[in-house]
Amino acid sequence: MTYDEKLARFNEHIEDGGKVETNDWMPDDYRRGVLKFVEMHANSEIMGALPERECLPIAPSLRRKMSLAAKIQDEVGHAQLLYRVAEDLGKSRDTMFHDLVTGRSKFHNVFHYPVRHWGDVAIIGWLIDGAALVTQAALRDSSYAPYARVLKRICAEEQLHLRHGEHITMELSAGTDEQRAMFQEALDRWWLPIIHFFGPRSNVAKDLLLRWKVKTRTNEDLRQEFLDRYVPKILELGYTFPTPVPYRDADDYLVRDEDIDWEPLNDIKKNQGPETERRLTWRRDIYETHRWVRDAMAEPAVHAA
Amino acid sequence: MTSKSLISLLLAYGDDELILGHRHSEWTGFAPHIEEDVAFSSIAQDEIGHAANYFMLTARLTDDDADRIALGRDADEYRNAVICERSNGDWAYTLARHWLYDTADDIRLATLERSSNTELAQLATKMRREERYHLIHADMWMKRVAHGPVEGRSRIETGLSSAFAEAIGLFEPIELEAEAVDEGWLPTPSFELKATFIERASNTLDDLGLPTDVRADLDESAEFVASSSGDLIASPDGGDAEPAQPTGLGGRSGEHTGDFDQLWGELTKTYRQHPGATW
Repeated sequence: MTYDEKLARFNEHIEDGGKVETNDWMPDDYRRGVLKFVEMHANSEIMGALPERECLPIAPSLRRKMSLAAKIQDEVGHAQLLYRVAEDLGKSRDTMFHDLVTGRSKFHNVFHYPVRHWGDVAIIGWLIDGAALVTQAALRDSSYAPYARVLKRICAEEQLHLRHGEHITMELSAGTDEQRAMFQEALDRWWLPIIHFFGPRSNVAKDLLLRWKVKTRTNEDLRQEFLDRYVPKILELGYTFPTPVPYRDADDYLVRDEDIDWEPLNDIKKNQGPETERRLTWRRDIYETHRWVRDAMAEPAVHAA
Repeated sequence: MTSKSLISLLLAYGDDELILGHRHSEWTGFAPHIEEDVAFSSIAQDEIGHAANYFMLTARLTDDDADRIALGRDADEYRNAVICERSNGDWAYTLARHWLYDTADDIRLATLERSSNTELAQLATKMRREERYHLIHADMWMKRVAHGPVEGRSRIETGLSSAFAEAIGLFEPIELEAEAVDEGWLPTPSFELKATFIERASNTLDDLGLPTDVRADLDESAEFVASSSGDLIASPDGGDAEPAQPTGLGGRSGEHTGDFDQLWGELTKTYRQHPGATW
């Protein structure tokens, strides 16, 4: 079979809702596209541990300190699973890690921002994880089957995280004026990055991952689901929105495209967000000064007594 | 009536767990290996959970609140050993401390299982079951590094050289120790636990072919008259640059280091800023 024939058959298979396994034939563009997408997702899980990790020392109770630690541990575990999926597509974890710490690859925009106080934990746990869950739930139908399978497991855990975040939000909202102010202040800082998280409108004609059903829904569709689900809850709790302020249109909560300032996202795409350099430098320093740990791990296993 | 010496014991050991758990958790997201990130996070969570156990028992005895005890005290009210508060340094220091601490903890929990306070005795049995896995983890790593490439080996030697000396501070007598021992809260006095610890740790290091310079400490009396660190007691009479307090001691009476001030500031920050709030 010629390459073109194989490609035609592959396209037809995808069109019929077929799935792709690691050892199946796939076009190079498909392999590259999925690898890049999954690698970014894995990078985001590991980099996503850092903002919350910065809140761990200031947790306000023993119970919260333990549950936040457990939650971050899950995120790192997700990175582990996702790196394995990516590895099978032909790039070693060490190379992916090297590309991450040297700024050659990307991670989600929200993890480029600073945290200031416990209100950030509420926003990250409820709204950012909520946004991530909307996008990840859609990917459970991805045409790349190993990714879809891992996402089913990740989404189940993320449901728990969401409840954890929601609970922290409720405690703050029912708490003192200062606690409510913490949430509002954090919301004011995070709202635009959360809108950015979904990305600009998808270019359906050009987006290969959409065409090959690696991604199953457009950016604007996912964003709309998030707005419809969360805006009413935030309003009900008595908080207000910064720009882009959502407005109601029949059953939907919409934001105007012209209200979204994309400039901060463009900086982040160049790995020039407010916290990018600091967080990558920390990680790079440990990566470089601790090669001996990886060397020790690579030695033949020693019997544990 | 609540025994002050029992409270003293609970706070000393609870603070060790809390402060070391806090330090361990600082590796979250940064451990030099992803699998290790996940494993070490579990250990940190266990230590903080054990602190919560000690503090809940303390709170019941004193009609207090476990979070208030954990996060609402002044810096000089904490009774953890100095080694627990030290900054993480590199992974080698963290690993050396992890191994020394969990070895020490196993020894003192074995004693607490025989405590005359039944609640504490039961708690010790439960915690020791979990600590067993910490020890397996620490032992596995020590072996791996000791038998591995030379760079890791020399780093772990450096880590041990400062950590072993300060680990002795885990057995600095607690306040009102004589009474705690008389009452049977702490069935074995600290100096005996210390001797057991030094012997066990030294033997293991010997087996691993790693050096230890603290064995002389075995002959020391129950009182902490000198640092166990070979470095610091090298010139006992003239060393004008040496601190008056031997390294690693003082924690049990609330004397801490600059590392603790930084840790305490973060640990208690949110709690202190919002009196009466629930989270």
